[in-house]
Amino acid sequence: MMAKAISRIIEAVVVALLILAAFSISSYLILPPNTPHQRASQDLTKFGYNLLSSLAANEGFDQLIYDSSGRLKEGWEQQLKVVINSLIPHNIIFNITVYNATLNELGFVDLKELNSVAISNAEDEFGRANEAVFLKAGENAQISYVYTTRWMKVIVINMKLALLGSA
Amino acid sequence: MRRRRRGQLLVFAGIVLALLIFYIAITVHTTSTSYQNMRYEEVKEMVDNLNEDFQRALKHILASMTQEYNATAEMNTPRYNSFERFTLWMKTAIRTFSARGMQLNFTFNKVLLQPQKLLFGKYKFPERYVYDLAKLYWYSPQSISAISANFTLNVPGSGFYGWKGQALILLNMTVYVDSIINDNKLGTELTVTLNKEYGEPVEDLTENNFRIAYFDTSTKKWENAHIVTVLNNGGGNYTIYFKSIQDKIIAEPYNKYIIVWAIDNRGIIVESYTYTAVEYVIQENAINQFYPGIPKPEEVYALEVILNGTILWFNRKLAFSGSYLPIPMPPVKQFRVYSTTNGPNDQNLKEIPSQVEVWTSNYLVPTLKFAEWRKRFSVGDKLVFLLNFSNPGVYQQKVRIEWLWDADAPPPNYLVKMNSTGIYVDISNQRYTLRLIPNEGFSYAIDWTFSMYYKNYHVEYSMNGIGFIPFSGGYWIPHILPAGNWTVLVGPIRAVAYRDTSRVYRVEYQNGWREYYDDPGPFKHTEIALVPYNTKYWQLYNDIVWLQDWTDRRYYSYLTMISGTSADQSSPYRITHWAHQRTDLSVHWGTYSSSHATHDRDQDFLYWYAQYNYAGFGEAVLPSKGYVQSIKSLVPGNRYMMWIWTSADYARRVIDSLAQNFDTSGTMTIKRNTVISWFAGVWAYDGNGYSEPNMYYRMFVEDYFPTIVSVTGQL
Repeated sequence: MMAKAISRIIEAVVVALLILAAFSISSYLILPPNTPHQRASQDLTKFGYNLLSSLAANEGFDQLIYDSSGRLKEGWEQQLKVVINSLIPHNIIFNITVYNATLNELGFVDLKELNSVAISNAEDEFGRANEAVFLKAGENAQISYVYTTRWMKVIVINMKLALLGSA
Repeated sequence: MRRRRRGQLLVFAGIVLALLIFYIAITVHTTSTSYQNMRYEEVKEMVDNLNEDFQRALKHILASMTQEYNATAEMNTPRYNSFERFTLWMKTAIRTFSARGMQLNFTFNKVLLQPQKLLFGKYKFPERYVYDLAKLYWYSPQSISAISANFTLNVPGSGFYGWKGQALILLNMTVYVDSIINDNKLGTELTVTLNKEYGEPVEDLTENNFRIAYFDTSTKKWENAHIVTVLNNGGGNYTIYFKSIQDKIIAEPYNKYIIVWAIDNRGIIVESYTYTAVEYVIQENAINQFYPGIPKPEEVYALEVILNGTILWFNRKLAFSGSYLPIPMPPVKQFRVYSTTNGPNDQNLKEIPSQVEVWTSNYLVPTLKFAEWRKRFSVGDKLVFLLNFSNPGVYQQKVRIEWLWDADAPPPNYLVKMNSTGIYVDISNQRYTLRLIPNEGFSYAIDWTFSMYYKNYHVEYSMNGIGFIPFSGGYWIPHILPAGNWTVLVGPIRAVAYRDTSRVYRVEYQNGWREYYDDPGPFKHTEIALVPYNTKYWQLYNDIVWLQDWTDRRYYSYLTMISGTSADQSSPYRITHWAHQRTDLSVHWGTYSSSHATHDRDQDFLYWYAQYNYAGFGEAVLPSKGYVQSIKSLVPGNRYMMWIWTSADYARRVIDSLAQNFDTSGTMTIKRNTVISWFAGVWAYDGNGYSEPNMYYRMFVEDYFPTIVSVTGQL
């Protein structure tokens, strides 16, 4: 009787172990697609697109970058930096490069960088975007945004975002 | 007991298996949905950006296109620029997003904007589509600017296929023509409605978004009205009050014949006209009353309409007792002219050849932009059309001047041809060729100026020969004559050769022949020759103002016909006969000799003179009444004369139309400030007599010019 009882206990323990193993394996399968790291990266991308989209909605880039006759405003990089800075949380750093698209003689698109100074909140002592800060940050997102101005200039805004303290 | 224990184990195993299956199912489901969710979100942001900027780009392309077209009045460049802009945007989008694995394909589909409709029960509009990227339907009471394009998008790497995006951007303005009334305080009241894509009303317009032009009878041109106020009635409906530039009420009917521009806050322009055509009934008075019921195939008038609606023939206003209606100012390529062929009650109007010519603001002298079509119709412009009364018994025709609503309307085809060979310029109107030597210095001692080639022969024409010089061999005619280079310009249905200068050519015989160009010479002169398409005539205007007293030997020719050259004395095509009309309308005619002789000196001449043969060739000068009056009054003492003679050199045949006959007995003096102004037609025909000039000459005589019976606007 005693031996039979012991065998029942062993059976129960084995079954419990089986169930536990099934749980473990299932959990392992579920986790990888949506880790906290990936969620953070997606959120940064979404945030960046939403930010640029909201600025584009009311011809914000026209007003920030160009004057009333379609010429580049003096110091527009600084204005854009101030506006972006005011719209993002303090733990996100950014670096923006604005390109003007033109067709060359062969009919291909040439992208010419418009900003002569960095548009970033992570500058080094020389006023350039500090790439090291982006490398150290755990999560980065790279966004390309196409915008057509009132004067039919097509610009491409490349925005790099990083979440500080996420490494 | 044994059964019970076995049963416990089975239940337990069943529970475990169920849990495992359940859990595995959830895991598989979560894994698969999590994968899809993650990929969707990555694509979504790009698609959103693409969609938004696609709309934005098309909006700006349409705004730029309408603004450029409005400013330049020609469509090719704005359309080309629009495609260039679209290409730039498309390639930039492809380059930017292809790095993320996106595949893009763009197309321009034909999208119906508006079905066929009858606006206000009277304006019949066909179906209107947008295609080839953009279309502008302007110049009618309902005008539309629209742009549309489509794209398809795939992101194979994310399993995302078949996204279709479409953009349609438009501005649609309807002008309620019947709403136009005059209000004593606020001016003229007008109601308009503006919608954009998907029928959405445009709600944010103010005075700054509208411009109205009206025809000002004091300045005789279209002026921008003073917009007093604009009331926003909601739903895209606006009531506009406007006055004249003098801040006065615009009188009827000119308050109803207006042009309305609207530019929305996206920068898109539309242009609407309250009327769609102006109709005239024009009556000929030159042929039918004298030859009732017979065909008159050559009775074709090159009539000219100017901005205030007046019609001109040889720069003379056609008589009309009513009020004219202004011709609007669309780009000139939009104009089309239609006429009846069997009288004003004929329901079948056909398009007739037309063109717009650019003259000086007083309509007297052509400009270098004579045939420029990349402009709006404005002061100085003449809308020229060829009106035909050829059918027997037809003496009135209805003429409708319309402006096409599709801004892609092409300019008219060039029917008159011009060739340049060596020192010559040949203008061909399909019936004859008019040859000029446009540059001075190539026609020694006599400026024959024009040579009219018809079939197998030609006659040369010399204008304003004055005085003569004696030399060892006799007398050389003339002493002085107009000089200066001709400007030759060809339009679609009429060409012009003109000069407007004070240069005068002088020949002297002092130890040999000498020639001089005096600038300024003793007179200023303007000569204009117009060659209409497919007519038998060309038109000649001549204006001279003497800048000083001028005394010369007695000879003053207005327009001389010369035929025969050194090379064709034995030709069977040589002119054999001359004829001219006398004041009693009888005809005096005769034959030329083969040696130097005078055949006729006749003071009894009137409205035509001709050279012809019986081998199928003839040409005639058909002077106006002003010509005849001028030539008979220029020199005191009744010295005018029709002098018909054969020259000593090459037996050339000449008809001299003289204000001062050739007289070696003394001198004549033309006083300073003497003005000589005349016009004439020059006609080519098949010879064998003079019946054709004798039938058609009244077309060029002021008393028989066409008259206007009625003018109506298609409001």
